Amino acid sequence: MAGNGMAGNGASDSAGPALLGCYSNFTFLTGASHPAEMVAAAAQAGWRAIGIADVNSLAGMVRAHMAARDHAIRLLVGVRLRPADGPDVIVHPCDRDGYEGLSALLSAANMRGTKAAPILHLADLARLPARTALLVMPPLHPDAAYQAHLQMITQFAKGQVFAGLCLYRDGADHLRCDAVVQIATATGVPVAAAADALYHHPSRRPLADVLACIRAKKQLDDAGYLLSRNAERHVIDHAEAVRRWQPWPAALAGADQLAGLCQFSMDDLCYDYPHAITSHGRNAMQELEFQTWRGAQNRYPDKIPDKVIAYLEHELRLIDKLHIAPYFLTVFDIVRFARGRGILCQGRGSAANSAVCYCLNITAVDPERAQPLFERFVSEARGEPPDIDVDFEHERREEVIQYIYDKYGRDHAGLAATVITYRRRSALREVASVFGLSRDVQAALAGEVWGREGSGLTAAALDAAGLDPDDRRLRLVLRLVDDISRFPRHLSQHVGGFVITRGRLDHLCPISPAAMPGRTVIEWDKDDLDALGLLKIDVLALGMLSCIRRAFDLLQGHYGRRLTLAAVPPEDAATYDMLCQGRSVGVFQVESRAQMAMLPRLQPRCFHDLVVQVAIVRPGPIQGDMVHPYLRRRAGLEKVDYPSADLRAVLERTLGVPLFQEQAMQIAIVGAGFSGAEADRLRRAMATFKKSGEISRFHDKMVKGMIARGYDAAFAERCFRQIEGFGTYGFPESHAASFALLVYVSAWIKCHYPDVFVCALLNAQPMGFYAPSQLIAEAKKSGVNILPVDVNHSDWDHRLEPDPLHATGRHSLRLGLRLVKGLRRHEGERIAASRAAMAADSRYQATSDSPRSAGKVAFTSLAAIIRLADISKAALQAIADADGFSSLGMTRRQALWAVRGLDQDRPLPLFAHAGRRHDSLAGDEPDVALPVASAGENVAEDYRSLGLSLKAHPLDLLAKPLAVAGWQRCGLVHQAPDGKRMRIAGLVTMRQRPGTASGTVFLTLEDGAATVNVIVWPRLTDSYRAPLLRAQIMGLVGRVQRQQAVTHVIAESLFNLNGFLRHLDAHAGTPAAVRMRSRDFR
Amino acid sequence: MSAAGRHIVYIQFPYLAAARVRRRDGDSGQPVLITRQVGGVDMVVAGCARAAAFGLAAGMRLADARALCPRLVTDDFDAASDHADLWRLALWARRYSPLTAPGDTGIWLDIAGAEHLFGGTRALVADCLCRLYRSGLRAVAATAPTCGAAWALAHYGTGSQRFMTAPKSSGDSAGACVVRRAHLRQHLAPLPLMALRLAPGVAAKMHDTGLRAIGDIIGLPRAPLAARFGTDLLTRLDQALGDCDESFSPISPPTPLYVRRQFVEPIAAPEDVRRMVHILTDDIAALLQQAGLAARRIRLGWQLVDGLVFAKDVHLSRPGRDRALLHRLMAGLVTVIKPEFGIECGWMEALECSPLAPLDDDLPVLDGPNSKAACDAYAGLVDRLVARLGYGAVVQLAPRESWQPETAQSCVLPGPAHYENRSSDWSGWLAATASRPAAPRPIRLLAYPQQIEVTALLPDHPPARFVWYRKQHKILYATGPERIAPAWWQAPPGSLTRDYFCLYDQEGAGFWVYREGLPERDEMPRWYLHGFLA
Repeated sequence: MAGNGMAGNGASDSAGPALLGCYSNFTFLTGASHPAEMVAAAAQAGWRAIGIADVNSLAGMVRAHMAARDHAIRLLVGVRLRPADGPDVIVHPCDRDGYEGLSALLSAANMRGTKAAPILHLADLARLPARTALLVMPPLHPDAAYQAHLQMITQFAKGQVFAGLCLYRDGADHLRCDAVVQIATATGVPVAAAADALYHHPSRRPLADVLACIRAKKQLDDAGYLLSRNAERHVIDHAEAVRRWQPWPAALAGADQLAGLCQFSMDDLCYDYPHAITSHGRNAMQELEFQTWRGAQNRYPDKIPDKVIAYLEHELRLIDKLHIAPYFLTVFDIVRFARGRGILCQGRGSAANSAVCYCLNITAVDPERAQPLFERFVSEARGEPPDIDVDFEHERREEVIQYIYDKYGRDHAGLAATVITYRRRSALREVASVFGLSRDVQAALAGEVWGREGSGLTAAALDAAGLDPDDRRLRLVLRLVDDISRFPRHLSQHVGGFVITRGRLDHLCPISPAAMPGRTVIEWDKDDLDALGLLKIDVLALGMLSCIRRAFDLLQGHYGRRLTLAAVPPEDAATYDMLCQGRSVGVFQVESRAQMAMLPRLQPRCFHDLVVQVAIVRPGPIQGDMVHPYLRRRAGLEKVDYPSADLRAVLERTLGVPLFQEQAMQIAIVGAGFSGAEADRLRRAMATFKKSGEISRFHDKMVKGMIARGYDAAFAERCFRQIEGFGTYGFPESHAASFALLVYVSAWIKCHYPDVFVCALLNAQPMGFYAPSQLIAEAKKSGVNILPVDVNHSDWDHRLEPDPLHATGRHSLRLGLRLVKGLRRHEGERIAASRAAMAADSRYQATSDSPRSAGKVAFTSLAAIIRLADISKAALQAIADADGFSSLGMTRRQALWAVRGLDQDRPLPLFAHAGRRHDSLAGDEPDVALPVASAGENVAEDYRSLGLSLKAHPLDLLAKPLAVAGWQRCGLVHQAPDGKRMRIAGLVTMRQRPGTASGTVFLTLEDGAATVNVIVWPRLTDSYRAPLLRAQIMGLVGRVQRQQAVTHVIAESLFNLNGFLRHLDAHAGTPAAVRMRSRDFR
Repeated sequence: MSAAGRHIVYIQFPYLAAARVRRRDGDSGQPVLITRQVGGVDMVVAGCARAAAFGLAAGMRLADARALCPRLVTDDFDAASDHADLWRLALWARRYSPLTAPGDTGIWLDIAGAEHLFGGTRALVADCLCRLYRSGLRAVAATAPTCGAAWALAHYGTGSQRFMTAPKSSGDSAGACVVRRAHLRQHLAPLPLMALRLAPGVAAKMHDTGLRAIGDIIGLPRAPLAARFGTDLLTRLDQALGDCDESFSPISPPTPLYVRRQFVEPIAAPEDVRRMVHILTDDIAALLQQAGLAARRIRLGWQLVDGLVFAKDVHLSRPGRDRALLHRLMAGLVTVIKPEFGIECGWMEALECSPLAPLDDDLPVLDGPNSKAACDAYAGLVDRLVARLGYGAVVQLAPRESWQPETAQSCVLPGPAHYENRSSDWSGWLAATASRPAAPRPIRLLAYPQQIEVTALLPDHPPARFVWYRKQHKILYATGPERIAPAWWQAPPGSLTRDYFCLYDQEGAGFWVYREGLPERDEMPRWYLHGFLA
């Protein structure tokens, strides 16, 4: 005893009292406090070091590390290994070596099993390096088995082994501790006190119990001994611990000794950039300079503008100083690979502030056109790597990801994790079932939570839901839901954040296999990586890039025009004209209703206007009330003035109204005297930690600072509120600029080549805001001829066909088989392929007596299709459903009848070649006269299979009965005077309830000729719930509201007119009812 | 009976399950929906009239239904209960005709030859619907010469083709027509194909090809139809049109397990009464044996000469039919019977019957407390106690998983569920488990803890001595504390955490005491004696 005490005293000089064996909530559904809460509580309780160790995971360690730095307490990095065949062993690395070994051990266990269930055995502890400390946790009743395990571990583990002592106040503390001390003495192992704490404060005991119930899928009332007997497993006060451990003085001393051994800190992890790809013996910086200037020459073939040269020199100087050239080269390499494969890509976010990135082809925003702010991207003060996010075509991003894995190897490249946390709704569901609340009560609660994320449930709200607000269980549920929300629930993989290292990745952080084979995920999320200063490259997917690439391909194939993102003719007046009219269906970003309504008011005439347009319709500026002042100033209705001369420089480009994230930062610097680093912290608080309430700390500083500098208090408040709004929803200018370029390019294609645009857009589906039917209707308005799906003409994708009727050489759009519901891709592609093969095969040319179009060979019968394309009956049926057999002279119904009559699912190829007829029933079967489909039935069935009809708009077919019932056409709205009350009927194509609109619902109605935008105020939504949710055809009574060429109808009452669908199809209402889907609440 | 003579009524109950929920839980005034999980999604399968008024219909997702009408009562789809309800309704409907049967959504009646008893078909159906209405069931009925047609019209008929529920048995429904064989085609032709009781997929397939009503296929060549949509379609069509025979198998009512003795002269002598009980017991035991059933409850009834009727139930702790056992139990009842001026007749009925429990024969014979002999002896004892003291007066202690000593056991009525694990769990009560070390528990727990005077060191030392009933106990050996906090989700507010100690005094007596109130939370500590240790 005395000897141990001596050792403890010696160590405690450097280590101080250490609290060991704490869980955090990164031991999912066990730990009941955030790592930061544990750390803060330990610091408060007088400990100088805390050992946090989660089960088989280091996922919470970075957060604990950050908190420990804030609270000036030492964090012992650790993991609680849970082998399948022995007691828990907490491992603390002593130095980086130990850490790497531990991380590698966990990685190996994860790779053998999964992240959720790693495969780990006691014998694996032998692989831990010597520079580790192992704390073997005791069972509740230490026995011979424990002694055997302890002996085993001592024999083969190279690190220092301790036996853990725990006090639970379960009546057996003395028995247990005495037994462990005895066993430890016999084994020759020192003992150390372990708190085994699940939570930071006794008040979290209920939460720990609820988590245990969720884990075991039990209800509280049935959980029995699963629940805790008392609230003792919290972070204990140091003085109290000293008192309680009095009978075993070696325990605390042992803990201090262990802490003294473990001097490893997360700060010791230093990151090395992967080896740069250089040529001709250049070092990374020289290579970067070389590539940059070469790129600059390609970008500006005539002469590099002086302005750009200045930017480049400035940036290169800074890059050299910060030694981050390898990072640029890594991204450059990835982008070069993508370009080589013809994959469109574009850097987004702050990278667009860099001229170097432009010259390296990473971004496409010409620094000559925009004014980049390199400091937003790379700042000397921050001393951390920049963040380059690159968007790739969504369909081909996988190629890029595989390239990264191939090039750097799975040992050096991994995806970042995403911590999935409890949201109020999911928390509510699980807590309520633990309490045994019935599904109906749960649903009532969930209904009230709907759209109230963040704010607590009030007594009135509960009352309204028919629940008793004084019910004790209910109140407990709601309190626990508050506690549990934002708790991590599991780790998932980040969409595309890559970590690439020079050394082995599994030495940096435990890795685990991802859901997709051949991928690895690390345990930390992007905030963690940021905090440690690790490099991350975001390889993101963007649907619009796929669309634009397709459009470029079509332009080259059909019009012979070669284009790239940067080569689209700039500042084209016709394009801006089109946008100013609000005709932006399908155009990137500005196609939403809010954007569309903004276009005619903003009247964009140059690229910078588009940047503003992209940034302004965001919750940040809207909540900060910046939109209307900007519009008034732009329209010349309000004088442009600046709060001060200093701020003039910041706000000049946006007419004195802050719209971009950078401006918010600069206001803080210039207006409130923040340092650059502080402003950056503010930005971070805005971007990531908003939820944790950190931002309110900045509130006083900013408002006081601004008032001190002579600004109006109201203005200061407004600025701060706006910054708050930017937190989650603001755009930095550079990001807006990247997006604006895609806006411009897509608008340009739409304006000049609507046929190409619609074809590319449809082939890139699903993406964007509109359903194919609306995109096609829009193309029709632009004069594009649309041809129906046909088995003899359509490919899988939509394609362009020369349009002989169109004088200007514009093409028709032939709808592709991909539109056909229920047709699988490989079968659709086989149809097109076998047609092509037939065309190449002369036999068919000779014997075929088929109807031909433009020299094409065609199928002549269903049997021929089955035989040649080798597709299933189900595929034929899908095409028949889509009325795709017109070229065979069959109506939809005849085709379906014939397909159903095929005698088996798929003929054997042998028989097929023997020439047996497969639509054979036709031969010996009497003719059957099927009822002829009416126009309405045809349209209804088109909608069912294709989601649209080229034959007619359903509302046009219903025009007469609707008119008889007194409903007006949508088109009349656009001729009606402001304020006129109207009764309109239309097909609902969209329903939206944006989070920023506090319950207002936006609807879009259309008929064959026009669309109408409808606003439903929240007070109506309850009484008109049913028509609002159910009506496919809606009747609307409301007033026309007209503002600067934007027309809305403000709803007064709504009616479900689905009954009129009977006029289309008398059997609507039977299981195969007419269904016209709208895009709802996306 | 020939097919030509049939006169089928099909009565369909659209809100059957919802009515059952209302009967069970009371009417909350909110729409009731019956749901079923299909691939992880709750789908609505049935509803009530109120739900229909909100536009909630079968085939919707529950989430959609809630969006339309946030306040709903839901219940799980329960095919067995639905069928049981229909079976009972079919049984009831035997008042109209001996030929009835439960169908999938309603009940079948063949009323051929029975109409005139009720004043004609219309009057019969109207009477039936009216009675159903009064018992809270909405029903829709149709009559036809074939089963298929009756089903079709009841589900898909329009206007006068169907009888709707009417509150009065007046002529309201009289407008509905009784479909004659000659008019079958004409009536069925406009109905949708679903009316032919087709599998849902078949009707959808036919819908695509433009075949939507029964009339569309009546004239079509049969072979191509059969080739495409299966022969089932043609069978159903023929059945509906009467071109091929279809019948349902009528149910027969269950015979009660009931024996009765009527006496020529009223009996009153105790000896006669005993003999009556003995004979009835023999009879009922023989009846149970014959039926292969065992009863959980036997009811003895008797009628006095003045017409008064009495009954007395005997409960069995597990289903049984053993003659000796029954005699033993019933013998106890003899004293209850007060013949007064004489008993006219006596009867006995076996209730809550089930096929004989396997425990009786199949349990492997084991030694020890769980062996069959031990179980039988125990059950016999319990049954006799129950027979003597009355049902509900005999309870057993059962262990419960709970940290709070007061709730760690509960009283339960003896029943068969209890036998299987009667003895083993009790050892678990004191044994250690993975989550629970062997903390000592007293052999006797006081029903109410008794406050004691204690001398103990603060903050958490065991008492050095305490006074109980004026006797001083000096503590020589103590262990603890075991801290037990109240069950936070159910304890009344103000419940305090307790520290339990095991104390042994100079005489070797063991006490289980606790301190309530934690000094570290500045609560006033109070000491209680809660039990005695072995």
